[in-house]
Amino acid sequence: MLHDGLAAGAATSAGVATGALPSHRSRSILPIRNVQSSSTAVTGRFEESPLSVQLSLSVNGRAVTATVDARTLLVEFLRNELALTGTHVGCDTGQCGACTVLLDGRAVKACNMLAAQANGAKVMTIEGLAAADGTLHPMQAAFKECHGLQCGFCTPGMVMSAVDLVERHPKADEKTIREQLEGNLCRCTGYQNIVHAVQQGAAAMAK
Amino acid sequence: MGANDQSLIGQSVRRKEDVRFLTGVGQYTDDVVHPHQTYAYFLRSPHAHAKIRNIDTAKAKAAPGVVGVFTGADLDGVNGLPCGWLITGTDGKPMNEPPHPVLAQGKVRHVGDQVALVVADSVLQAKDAAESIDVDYEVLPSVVSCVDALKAGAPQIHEQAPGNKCYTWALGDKGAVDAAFAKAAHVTKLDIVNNRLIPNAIEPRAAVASYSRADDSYTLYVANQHPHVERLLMTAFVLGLPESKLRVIAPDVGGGFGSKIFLYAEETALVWASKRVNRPIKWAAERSESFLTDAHGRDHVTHAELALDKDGKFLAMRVQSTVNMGAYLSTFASSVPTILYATLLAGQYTTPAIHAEVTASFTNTAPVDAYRGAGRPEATFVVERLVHQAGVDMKMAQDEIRRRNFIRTFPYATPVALTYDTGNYDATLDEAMKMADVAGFAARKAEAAKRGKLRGLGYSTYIEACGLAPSNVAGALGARAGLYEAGQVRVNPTGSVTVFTGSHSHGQGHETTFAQVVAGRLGIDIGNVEVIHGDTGRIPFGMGTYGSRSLAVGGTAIVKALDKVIAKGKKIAAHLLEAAEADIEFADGKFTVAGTDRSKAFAEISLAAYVPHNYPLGTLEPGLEETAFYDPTNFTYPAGSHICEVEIDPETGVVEVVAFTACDDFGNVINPMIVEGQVHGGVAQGIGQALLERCVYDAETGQLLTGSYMDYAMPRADDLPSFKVGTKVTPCTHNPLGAKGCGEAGAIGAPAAMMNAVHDALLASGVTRIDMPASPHRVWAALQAARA
Ligand code: FES
Ligand code: FES
Repeated sequence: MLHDGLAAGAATSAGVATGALPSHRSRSILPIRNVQSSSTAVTGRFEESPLSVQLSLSVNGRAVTATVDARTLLVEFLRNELALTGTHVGCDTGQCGACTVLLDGRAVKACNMLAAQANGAKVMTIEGLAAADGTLHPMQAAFKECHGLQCGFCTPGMVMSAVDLVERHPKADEKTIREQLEGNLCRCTGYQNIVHAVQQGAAAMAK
Repeated sequence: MGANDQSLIGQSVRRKEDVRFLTGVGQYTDDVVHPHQTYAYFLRSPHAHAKIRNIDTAKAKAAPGVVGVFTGADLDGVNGLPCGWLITGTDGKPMNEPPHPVLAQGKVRHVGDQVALVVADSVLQAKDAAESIDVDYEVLPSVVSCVDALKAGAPQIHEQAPGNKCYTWALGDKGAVDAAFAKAAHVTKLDIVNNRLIPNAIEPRAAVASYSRADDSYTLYVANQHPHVERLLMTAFVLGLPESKLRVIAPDVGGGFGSKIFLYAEETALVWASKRVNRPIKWAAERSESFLTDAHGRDHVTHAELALDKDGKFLAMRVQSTVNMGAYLSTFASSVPTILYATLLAGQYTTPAIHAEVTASFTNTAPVDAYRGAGRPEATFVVERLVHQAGVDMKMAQDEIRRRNFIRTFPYATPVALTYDTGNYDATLDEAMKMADVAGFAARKAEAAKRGKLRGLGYSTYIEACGLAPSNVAGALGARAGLYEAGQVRVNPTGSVTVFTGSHSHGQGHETTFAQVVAGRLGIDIGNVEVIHGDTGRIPFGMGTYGSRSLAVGGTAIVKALDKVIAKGKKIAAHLLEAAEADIEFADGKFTVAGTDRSKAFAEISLAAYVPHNYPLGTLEPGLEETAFYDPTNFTYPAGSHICEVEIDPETGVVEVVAFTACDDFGNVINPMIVEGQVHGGVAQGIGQALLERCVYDAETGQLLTGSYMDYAMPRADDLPSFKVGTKVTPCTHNPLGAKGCGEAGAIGAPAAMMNAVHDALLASGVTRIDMPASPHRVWAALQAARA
């Protein structure tokens, strides 16, 4: 049941340590001073926090700079400040994987790391996966074709995990896929069609 | 059905809804953002049972960013949350129905009970303020077990429920059952615990409420399975508002499984408070709150007996269950272990006499209500464990003892109030046995034994009553609502169609299945059909989605509306084609004069209806839009055979599900891909119950011990095998689609199949009882005990 990418300290694998977050605050909407992306500028609504930090990172290929409260989680930053609500929050203990995004190409749980830890990194969310013309990424297309989703809530995290999984294990068999998806919970599908989708997506990505 | 039906009905059409979910642009409740919105945080009870001596909110009210702090004392004119089903006890009296306050009134009754609502500019500020609320609790002794709660001297939870009893209710002919037991050749007896589960839709509950001063009205976005019922209950029973003043929108909803049917305190408090603070308020449950406050499922303790003659024919069944209601009666709690449970105890069998007695108690735990299957998994578990044990006792093969008792003549009236319209239980069992390669099991068992492993095979030939429900029957059984469904078909001028349904999709794929039905019937492209659901501002009054009812009941309402559309279309066509209405036929999207090639396309008729220049205005209204309400005449009865194969490592007690086969009869299937997906998901939840999941409260303190994904074992991808899934069809006899419903079957059939397999594997070792979940510890300990 070991999982080499996600379940055990995703942030650690990305080269940064998970801070000791008070668990009861792990989903707070935290004050933010100022966010600027290449196309939008949002003026902060709250007073400057003594703990604010400056960030500059790339999100789905666009440069973003922002000043945020140091405690802001990456998932909060993406959802609340960049309005990228495709990344979901399904738990407060880092175990459901609904928040999975790619950080410098590796799957991480965005609820399990601070936005500050993504400073300088390239973040890819589900919104950035399809081509600019709307053509689905092969993994997205495979999930549709194989009915790998029902309510869709786990889906963005599942797809991002799957993309990372295939990068690491291009020829994964069913057993490996099941083990590798251990960090992503789905309550709807029973996982079977997700496994099919990953297999089909892997084949399409290899082309 | 027209020719085009064949091209769509029964096809695995890929889902219309998928692209938005796959690209991250679905809109779930927590994604909704209103300008100037505030955030709610609920201060919850840390105690299972306590008197509230005083609440001091002064500091919280003065805290930064806070726009409102409310306690039970502030909720003037707000009633408690209602229960939608009245159960009348064996004493002839109505059940005890204690108040279910929106915010605690002087007492808290389970850990997580909501005590105060704090509204602030940010969640962090709301939490900080909540921490500064001073609640003076007088902690009381608590009780969490439904059996202990009924014992003399148990802590008294509600004044209105002496001895913590909600009701004792019974069904069946006790005299006939006693007489049959007296002459039985064999009696099989079992004590059964149906473990308490926490539903755990991956989207936590969430709500966003806003108030408009312009017209004194409210809008509520909420993760919910039936927005109209939510609105009706909240306005008419709790807040005392006209329904028209509240619009309820259940946008994309991330799974429900029953837990999002109910009217909860949080969204009710939010609506009320949105007027007080005059700003939108958002609340999204943290997973910890979901564990503590979503309505849980199951939690039965049962003694059951089956009487048989010497040939293995079932003579009678006797069932006594004690069931947990939790601290308060949730919306449909009372109906689940009664109407949806005891009525299913006949299973697929001709057992002539059945008696069930159910006692429901209040405890210091979260409310318990419908969870995928709702009563029917509990009934199936009782029946199928009994049948399995009877087969063992009487040394009969598991398929044989079932076949000796199968119902084969339909319609069949059971001794527990239902009349099955149709079915073919031999067919699903035959097919499942083939798919599961039962013939090869002995060899697989021998091979496993060589590796030191114990293999077992378990059957579950289940039935369920779905398609809820004939309103008059439900009413006679205590339902306080109707159970029909509404459908509206709006043909737009150029021939595209917008369908408004009272059913709600939270993963079931209605936008696709319903579009298949409509496009098939009208002979138009599926891309020209849009299905709208989940918004009381747009859809007709409907009863929502639960009990595997959407296609059988909601789909039928749409078909009835389509019939009206086609009938009106024929009138328009008759006028345009200068023919008699009786001579107009509709097929393949064309209205044709019978026996000629003179026809009008569907879009020509719709255009004429909206641009009525050449139109029978004297006799026919313009426009092409029809609504239908459908109230079913009977339940539907999906049934099937599930066969599970397990392998147990006696050294570690680890149970591995090596194969799971399901052959189900859901009646006619519109989209096999979606149906298979429903079975997969249901089976995964059923195996979850049997192998992994268990909600545990500490008996002393009433604290929830399984309050996170670290403690509550959800099925993960590597816990499950790939399932083999097949279908056999006997069409439902009383709805035009012939559909029975498929959403719950997996969760209903699987637990018994798996636990029968576990008991089969352990039989030779002398282990006679393993309760769910069959955790390694339990299995290992039972093996050790049997060896000693
Ligand atoms: S929300 Fe990140 S793992 Fe659950
Ligand atoms: S599709 Fe609903 S949780 Fe995975």
